[in-house]
Amino acid sequence: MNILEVGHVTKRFHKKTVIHDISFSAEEGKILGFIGPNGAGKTTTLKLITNILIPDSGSIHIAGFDILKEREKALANVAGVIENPALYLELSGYDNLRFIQKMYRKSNNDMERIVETIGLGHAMRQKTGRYSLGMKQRLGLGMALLADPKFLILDEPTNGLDASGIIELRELIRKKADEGVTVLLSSHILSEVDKIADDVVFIKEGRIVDKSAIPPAKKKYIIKAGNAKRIQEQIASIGNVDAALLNNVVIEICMGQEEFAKVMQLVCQSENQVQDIQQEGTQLEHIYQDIFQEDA
Amino acid sequence: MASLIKMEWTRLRKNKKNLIVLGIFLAFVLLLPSYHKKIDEKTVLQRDSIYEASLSYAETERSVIAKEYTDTLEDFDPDTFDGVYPKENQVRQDYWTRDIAFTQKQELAFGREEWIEEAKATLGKDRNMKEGLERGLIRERNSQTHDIGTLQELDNRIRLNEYLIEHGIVPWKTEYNPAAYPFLFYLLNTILPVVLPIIICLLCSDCFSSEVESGSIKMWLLMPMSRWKIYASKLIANLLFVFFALAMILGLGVTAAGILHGFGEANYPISVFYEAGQANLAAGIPEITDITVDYLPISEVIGHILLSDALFALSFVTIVVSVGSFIRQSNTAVTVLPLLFAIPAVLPLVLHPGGNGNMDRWVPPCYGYAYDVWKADGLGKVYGMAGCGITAALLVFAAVSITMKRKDWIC
Repeated sequence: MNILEVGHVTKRFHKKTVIHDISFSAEEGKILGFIGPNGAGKTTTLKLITNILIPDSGSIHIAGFDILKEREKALANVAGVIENPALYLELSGYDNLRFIQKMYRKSNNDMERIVETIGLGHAMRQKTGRYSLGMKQRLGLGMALLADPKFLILDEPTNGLDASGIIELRELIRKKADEGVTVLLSSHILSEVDKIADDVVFIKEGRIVDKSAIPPAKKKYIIKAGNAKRIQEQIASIGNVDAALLNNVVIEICMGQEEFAKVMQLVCQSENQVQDIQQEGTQLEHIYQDIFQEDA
Repeated sequence: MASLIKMEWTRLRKNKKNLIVLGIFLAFVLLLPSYHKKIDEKTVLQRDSIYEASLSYAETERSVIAKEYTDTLEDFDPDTFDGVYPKENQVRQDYWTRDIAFTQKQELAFGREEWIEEAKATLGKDRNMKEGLERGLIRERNSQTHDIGTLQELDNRIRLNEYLIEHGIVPWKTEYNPAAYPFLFYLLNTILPVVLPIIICLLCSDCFSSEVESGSIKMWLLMPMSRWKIYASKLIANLLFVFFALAMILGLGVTAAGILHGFGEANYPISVFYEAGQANLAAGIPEITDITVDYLPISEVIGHILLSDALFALSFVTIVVSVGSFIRQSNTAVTVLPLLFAIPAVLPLVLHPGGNGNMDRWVPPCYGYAYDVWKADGLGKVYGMAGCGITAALLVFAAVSITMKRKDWIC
């Protein structure tokens, strides 16, 4: 079952169309990556989904409720951090969290559990105006989690987070998905999305890109071998494979999934003295490059 | 919705700008009792000099007019006078008669014993008229004519004269009373019509735009509730905060005046000059004209003004918050909204520099709302104005609620 259904949504600002007839859906309990370059319309789409903005045409359903007609019922399933954490800078972390606690009628135990999860400790008593971006992100995430939504929207959640924060966040998102929460994750860090997303939606210039129309991406491999030149000669006859010698012992090979087995069979011959094989970039990065080649 | 109101209240209470605004006005009102006493003393001096000048002028005028009158009517023979003046002299005669009456009143004002006798006579006459009205022997006239007036006016006049006779007070000669009750009246009648719109603009104009700038508005918009409820929550919280600020300002001012000059009496009489739009203390500048004069206990007057101020605040806060909910930059909101209301206030002062301080001359309609309510003759019109204010506020509220449902709002 889909918890989010976006159907033919269009949005204009002062006669300029920024979202063109987009449609996509998010399956319950899955993590949906939402990817696009700056200005592609990611945040505008998230604002449309949460009824912060109103579409000029099209429909948006959350948990079966039309966001335009049944805003209260639809938003009862949603929480998230959009653009940047929505905080009262003149209030403490506790005061901000308490607001959500009262709004969603959560217990003190729920609140304490969230405080522990986001790990802000004594900083919770400080005014949030003094927080770093990472601390604000943690608190914003905590406020979203306290609402205990079925559908969690996270817009660039890793902004400002340190390495351990990113790892914790990744684990937390995975855990939430396992609990049945649908997560819509908008991020420009492709490797992060690639690691946890079950599915990905690409947006380009306000339009959803049809993934089926994208040719399978070639992957790039860096091979370190004593006889790199021999490898180049061996695979020259195989079609759809590009090979380039970087120096006497390093060769770069770009190939599709279909050619992989055939090439590897040749490369791994003992005469070639292969020492190391590394794949460069993730699959998602390759797809991204294919889609947004001009932007790149 | 109660949680939203509480949250907005917390935000308003902890907002640095609001605390500074409140602090400035509290400091201002703390200094005001001393200033009030000074201007009262100055006014008494002015009053006495005006008395003397006007009395002297009236006497001169009377003699000049009397001479002119006598000269004009050379062939006037009192022995054969049939009570009908020549038509061309009728106007002059009327003027002369009124002038004599005026001078007599002025003279009377200076005589303590005579005034008490006059007050007693008026009291007896008023009581008779009241009885006549109650028994249906005579009918109420329009209150503006004041010959008999309404039963309410008679009651007020009777209460005033009883009070004055009991305390031996000559209204035109008594000293100013800078105690807490009169000071509260001064605050409400003179200071608040100007200060209240400023306070409202400063406290409420950026209630949405400051949240747009900080991004916290998204917290509100993501709440599972209708947009109009979000808007209404903010509106109610802002209104409550304005009332809280007013209570603080008035409470502190009254306490300061009470400590410095005593608290005074709740039934201290206030003379109300409806047509002139003035409501002076009983010991205020004398204006013996044909205008309607009523006397009310100060507590009653304060009640009327507080009611009208509350209604004014209700409609004004609604307008400021509603217009402010469509402005995204708080600098713009804090600058533009007060300007919208300040310009009509300042313009008359520019056009008529050195005005005589009569509020009627320069208070523009948008500020004069509370004042107009006060000017209105009686409580009936206060409720009439209340109806207008509440209707206007509801219309604005409905218009904004409908707009925000169909269009992008604030974000």
